[in-house]
Amino acid sequence: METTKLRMQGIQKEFAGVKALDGVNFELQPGEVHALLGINGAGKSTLIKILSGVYQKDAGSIQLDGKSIEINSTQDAINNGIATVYQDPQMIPSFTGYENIYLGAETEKKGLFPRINKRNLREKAEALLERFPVNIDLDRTVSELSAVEKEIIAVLRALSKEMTILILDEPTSILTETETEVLFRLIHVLKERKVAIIYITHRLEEIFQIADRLTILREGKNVATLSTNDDETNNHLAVAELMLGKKLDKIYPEKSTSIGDEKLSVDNFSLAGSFNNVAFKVHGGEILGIFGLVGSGVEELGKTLFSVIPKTSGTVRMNGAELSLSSANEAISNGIFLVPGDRRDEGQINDEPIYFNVSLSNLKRVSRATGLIDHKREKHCVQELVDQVQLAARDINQEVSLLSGGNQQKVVISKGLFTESQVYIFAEPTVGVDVGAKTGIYHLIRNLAEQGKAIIIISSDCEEVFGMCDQAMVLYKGHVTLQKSVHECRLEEMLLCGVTGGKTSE
Amino acid sequence: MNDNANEIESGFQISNLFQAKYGLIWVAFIMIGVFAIASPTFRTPGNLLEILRQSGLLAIMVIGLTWIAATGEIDVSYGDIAAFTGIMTAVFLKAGLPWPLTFLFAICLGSIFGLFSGILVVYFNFPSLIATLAVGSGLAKSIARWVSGGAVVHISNPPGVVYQIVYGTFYGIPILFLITLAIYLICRELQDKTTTGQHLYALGENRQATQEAGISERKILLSLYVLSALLASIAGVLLTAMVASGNPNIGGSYFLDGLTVVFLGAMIIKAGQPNVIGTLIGVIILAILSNGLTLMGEYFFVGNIVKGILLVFGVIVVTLARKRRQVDGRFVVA
Amino acid sequence: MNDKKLVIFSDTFKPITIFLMMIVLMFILFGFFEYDKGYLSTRNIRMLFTHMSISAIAALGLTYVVAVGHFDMSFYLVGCLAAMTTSYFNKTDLMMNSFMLGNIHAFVIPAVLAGIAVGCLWGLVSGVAVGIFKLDDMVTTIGTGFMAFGMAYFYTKGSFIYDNFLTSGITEINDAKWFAIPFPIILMAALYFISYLFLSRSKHGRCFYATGSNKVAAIFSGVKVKHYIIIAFVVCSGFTSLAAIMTTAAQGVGSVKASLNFLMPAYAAVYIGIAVFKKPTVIGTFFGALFSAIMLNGFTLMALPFYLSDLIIAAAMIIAIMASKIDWASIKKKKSNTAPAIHAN
Repeated sequence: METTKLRMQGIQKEFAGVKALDGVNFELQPGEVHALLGINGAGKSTLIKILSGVYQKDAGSIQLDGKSIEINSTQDAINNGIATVYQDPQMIPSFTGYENIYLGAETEKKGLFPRINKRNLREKAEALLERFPVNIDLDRTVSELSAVEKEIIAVLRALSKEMTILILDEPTSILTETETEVLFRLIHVLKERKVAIIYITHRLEEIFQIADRLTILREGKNVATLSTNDDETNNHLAVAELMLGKKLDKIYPEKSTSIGDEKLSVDNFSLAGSFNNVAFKVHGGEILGIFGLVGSGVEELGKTLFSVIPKTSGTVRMNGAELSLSSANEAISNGIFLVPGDRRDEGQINDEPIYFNVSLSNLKRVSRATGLIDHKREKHCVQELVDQVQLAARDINQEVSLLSGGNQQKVVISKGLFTESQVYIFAEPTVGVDVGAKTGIYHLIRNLAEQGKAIIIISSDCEEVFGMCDQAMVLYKGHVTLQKSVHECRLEEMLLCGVTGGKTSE
Repeated sequence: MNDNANEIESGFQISNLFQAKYGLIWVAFIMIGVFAIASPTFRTPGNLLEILRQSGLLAIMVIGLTWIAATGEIDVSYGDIAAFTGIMTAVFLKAGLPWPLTFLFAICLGSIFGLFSGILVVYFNFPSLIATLAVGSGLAKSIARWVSGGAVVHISNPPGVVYQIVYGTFYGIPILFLITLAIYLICRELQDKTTTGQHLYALGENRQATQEAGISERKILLSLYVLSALLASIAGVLLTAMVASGNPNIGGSYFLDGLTVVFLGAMIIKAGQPNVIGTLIGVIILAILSNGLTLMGEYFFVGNIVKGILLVFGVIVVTLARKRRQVDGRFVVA
Repeated sequence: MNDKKLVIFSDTFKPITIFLMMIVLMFILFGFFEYDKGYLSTRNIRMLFTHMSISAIAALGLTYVVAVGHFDMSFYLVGCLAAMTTSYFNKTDLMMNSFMLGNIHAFVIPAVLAGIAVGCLWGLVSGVAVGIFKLDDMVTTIGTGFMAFGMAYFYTKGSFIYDNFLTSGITEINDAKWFAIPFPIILMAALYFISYLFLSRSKHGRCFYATGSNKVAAIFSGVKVKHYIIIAFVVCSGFTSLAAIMTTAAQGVGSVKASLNFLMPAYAAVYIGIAVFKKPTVIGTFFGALFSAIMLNGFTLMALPFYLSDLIIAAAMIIAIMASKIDWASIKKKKSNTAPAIHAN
């Protein structure tokens, strides 16, 4: 029996009073591919960020080769031989492959102008590459490389440092199937070289192809650690159930009872390179859920409906009349509002107060005929909305950046409510929101539907779509793989359609 | 895929010279041809060598700007720092200091401005435009006017060696141009063969990646601002030696020229990125243009308009190149 | 509810209080040293505000561009073109011996409007280049600015225009007084008041600031970001053109260098305002311009040479921004700690 490479015990981490990790244990053997599974918010990314030095743990211990170590910075992690390849590896586009591999580590020499021996670097990179069964032209600039080649460059960059643990964070989310094969061949070679690999993914079928063991986390706690060779484990449904937890808590409100007229109908809707032939109808009082993983096209679908990305083809009808929208401004004035998924970049004006953010989407409502803002009316309207969404803030003059994630989301939702739209699209409505605030947001959304609005929820959280929605749609790599009433489908079925495209392993 | 690799390995080929990234060199040749036909004075060897000599000062002054622009920041202080050191040189010489000491003191004083803008940008988070504007046309220019009483300071012609540097020739080629060329070759080595050169381009393209690779952004930017001021100071001393006077207001006349040559130069060699060889070619093109327009009897302000157009054109090319590099299959809003 | 009012009070009035303290301090200092030179006389104060009005109007225009998160390096050069355009039309008398309005010839008005229109047109070019084609703002505006500056020379090959300045009544822009208040001061007050309403009180102002803070989020909120960027550049060039024409009227001569020295004071006023108010505001710019004007006026009375004015203004700006970047609270907390208390990022 080989010694354990890495042992993490009782890891705890809290963010603003929310326990992201609550005593998690994790073990890694040399030459093992160990998959880390869990739905959004289960604590996977927090755990690897602690291991790679981005976050510092609040409690717990980390042992490497039996020796206790402390990781306080990303540099500490690298010095201990722990390398991470993130989901979207950052590169210098106009640099060649080998220049990117050795970026920041070109030479040992100190001083202001240490020389780089590019030929030497290139040879080193070639030697590194030769050890693996992949073929990349290292002289081409990264901007010319395909997604998998970039991924491999990122892996090689990690390998160029003396490392024994490699963390791969959703490496296949933007790769095609053949590209994934290439990456897997590389992983097999690494295994033979006794590199221990932590593999994070949402795609279940990959795990049974590549991983030796898997650990499932849920709500910051260990659920199970299983071997993939085990017959009992080799069952997507069983794993999916473990990830979700059998019971669906009472966090979701009751489903809709009364469905009104058709509000929005979308036909033949496509965006080249992202999603194809999407068609659906949403009625007033109804919630349509669209589930898909990162890279499946769901994110773009929301933005295209909102017209911030121009569609390639398709028609959108509102109350039966065809719309031709060319900007978010027009979408809003036609009664469509998107609550974006990336709050910090797309949702909020960070350094401005709450009232500024909320009223921005419909300034006409609070301004006089002269164009001047009626502050009294503004304060009144915003305060009313803020009370309605139960925002926990000092007052509406507070800067948005000072609020917690859940409250920021409530500000963005208030902004949407302020437009008094007919159709609301929520993209990832509860990312970065703690469980308590989630329920509040879900009830808000359901209330909106009960007021007769048509709601679309776009999410990479399957459970959320299942729990919230009346109609479900699942996208896998840009194609619709499931579309029916939630009452007629099972959660596991939805999850499988989203993570495998609907092919079951049995 | 393989075609591309072969091309790189086979090295230099004549056909490479016709690639778009060398287009500006052909523009230079065409311009020389047109002016040579239109103006008899232009085509005299004396005039052509004078163009080379005159382009030297601007070329030295804007090396720092070239690299700072490559990191995505900006420096608008080089001209005023050159004017400042020019004045200090004249004042020191009048006070009886020998040339070598004058040279040393003036350059050290000039470099302090670079250190100051660097500190403002790196440690106090000033926008680089505001920092270099305040340090250049705010501090350096005003102090130069203060020291000189607002007027031009005349000095006697420099002694033999210095005179030779600015006016001498070597086998007919101006020594000043040879010095410029030498500085440029050294800087090209620094740019293409050292980590700092490598990292400054990395910084300009993707700050996050550069930081993740553990590269110190502060160290690079601080040293670039100091270097920019140092080279501008050298140009300022040479300028005073050349015209035998220091002029506190001369900086403004280098302002537009400097930016234009850097962004013209960005069109060649490294597609869409400022680089020293591009800048040198840009300087020569601009010198040909100014000289040709003057000889053809055009007013100098026509030159301003042409330079302004060239600058905007350069920015368009740089912007397009940046966009092409960053298109990543992802959809970009805004 | 009372709490809420208090917060608004402190958010807006704390910076104003800082400014008022700075300004009172300046008055006391200069008043003390230069009382005998008539520092506190009505005449000097009126002169101070008249001088201030020109650079303050240019700075006001720049505030719009900085509010949408951009830089303009062309406005001071565009002003030169506008000033020469007005001077040229003032010379040529388009209306052929037209009627008089008071002591102003009617053709002065189209001449002034033509200058401002040319300025706005140039702002439109820069605005489209930056807002729609997304070119780098600083370098592009330097290019467009110098094009305008080159065009300014076309009217006279760069020489001064004196014609009609004494007779047309164009100098009234500077000399006229209403109720003993010089016209430039009235103009400044009016433009600042309108801009205050527009930027700080109207729905459009919100959109300017949203664009400046986070363009993507602004787009997602339905703000027409491109429009506001273009408007900002047009307003900036237009206001500077007006300021340049006011300079021309004050000097009584059309010069291609009319507004060449606007650059430093305008940026200083805007950034001193930002240092105290944390964002580019009309009130902040006003106080920034006032603060600079008081210093310049005081130092001019002390017989400091004119060419030091940029030094004083630049130094004031650097100190103001540096002071605003220092985290005073953390210095108080860690008095014993030697760690640098500067916000690095």
